[in-house]
Amino acid sequence: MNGGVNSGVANGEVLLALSEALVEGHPETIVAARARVAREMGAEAMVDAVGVASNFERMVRIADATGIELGEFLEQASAEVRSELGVSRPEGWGA
Amino acid sequence: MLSYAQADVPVRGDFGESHQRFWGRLARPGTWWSSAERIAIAEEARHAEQCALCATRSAALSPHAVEGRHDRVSDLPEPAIEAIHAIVRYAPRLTRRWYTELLARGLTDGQYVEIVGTVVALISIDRFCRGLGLPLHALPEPGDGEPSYYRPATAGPDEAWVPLVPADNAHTPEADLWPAGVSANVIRAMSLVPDEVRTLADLGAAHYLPGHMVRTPSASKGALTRPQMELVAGKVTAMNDCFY
Repeated sequence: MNGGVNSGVANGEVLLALSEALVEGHPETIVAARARVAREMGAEAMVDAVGVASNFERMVRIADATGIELGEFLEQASAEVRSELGVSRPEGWGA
Repeated sequence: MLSYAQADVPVRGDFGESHQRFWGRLARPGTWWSSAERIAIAEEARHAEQCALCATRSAALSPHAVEGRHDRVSDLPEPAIEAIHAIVRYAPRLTRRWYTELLARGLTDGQYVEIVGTVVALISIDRFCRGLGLPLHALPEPGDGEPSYYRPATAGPDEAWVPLVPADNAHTPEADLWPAGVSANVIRAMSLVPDEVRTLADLGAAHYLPGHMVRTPSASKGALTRPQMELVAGKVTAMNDCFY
């Protein structure tokens, strides 16, 4: 997710920049990032990217606010990548 | 009628249609809150962006150690205000203890889940508008009527802080929420208030993918490829520090 690393995804750099701008929420940065996506990928792709980003602003809060566990499938499917990335629950989450 | 016809870029019709359906829900009584209260929840969620206490807590090493009162714009009960502001501003820092303390202060689990559903739906619509440089939609006028007070008979302790409807929901009034036996916890998360799951599916189908397409790796929608969609999703999720 580091903008300095090649994601291997077409137009990844501009999409990451737009995603970052949308989460950080500074209007000027959003305007610039949005314009760049529209210029390089088209207006429809820009709108779709904003749609996906805003979707996940919803999803992360659902997960965090309800305290859901990963569940058996995700627990197993993500075990290796969680270990590699050192990702774990925040301290005190389940207390 | 909520519309994106005035946007200076073409916006797919399903965005406006799903957003309008949620706006219509705000104008009707919900499961545990009246329409006026649901709109107040939305107003508080918008106001939370400017709350000084939230700003301090967001920056603190331990947000729950920071005492104070939220900047509020409604007459909702204090635990509801706490829930709304926290979900908007520092959701990754929430704990089971924080949730159970809200219940001890008089908020019910159903009220809480409906707050979650209302706040997150509003956030996704407002962030969409902000992302496109459009003004936020005016909230609707409240409608009359009483909440339904509906509680699924099968909801109970599960893999979450809040009660969940079991994944096997066949032959129940909740059978439409997901295919029987096949559901990720993030879909079941708000099932104590089934209408919140229905709104989630409706908005998700417009913003991302219809539920039945999510587990197909090659499925995509609109002008983005699936890898592009997941890149955006992953970046947003990572920046929000969401473990799930």
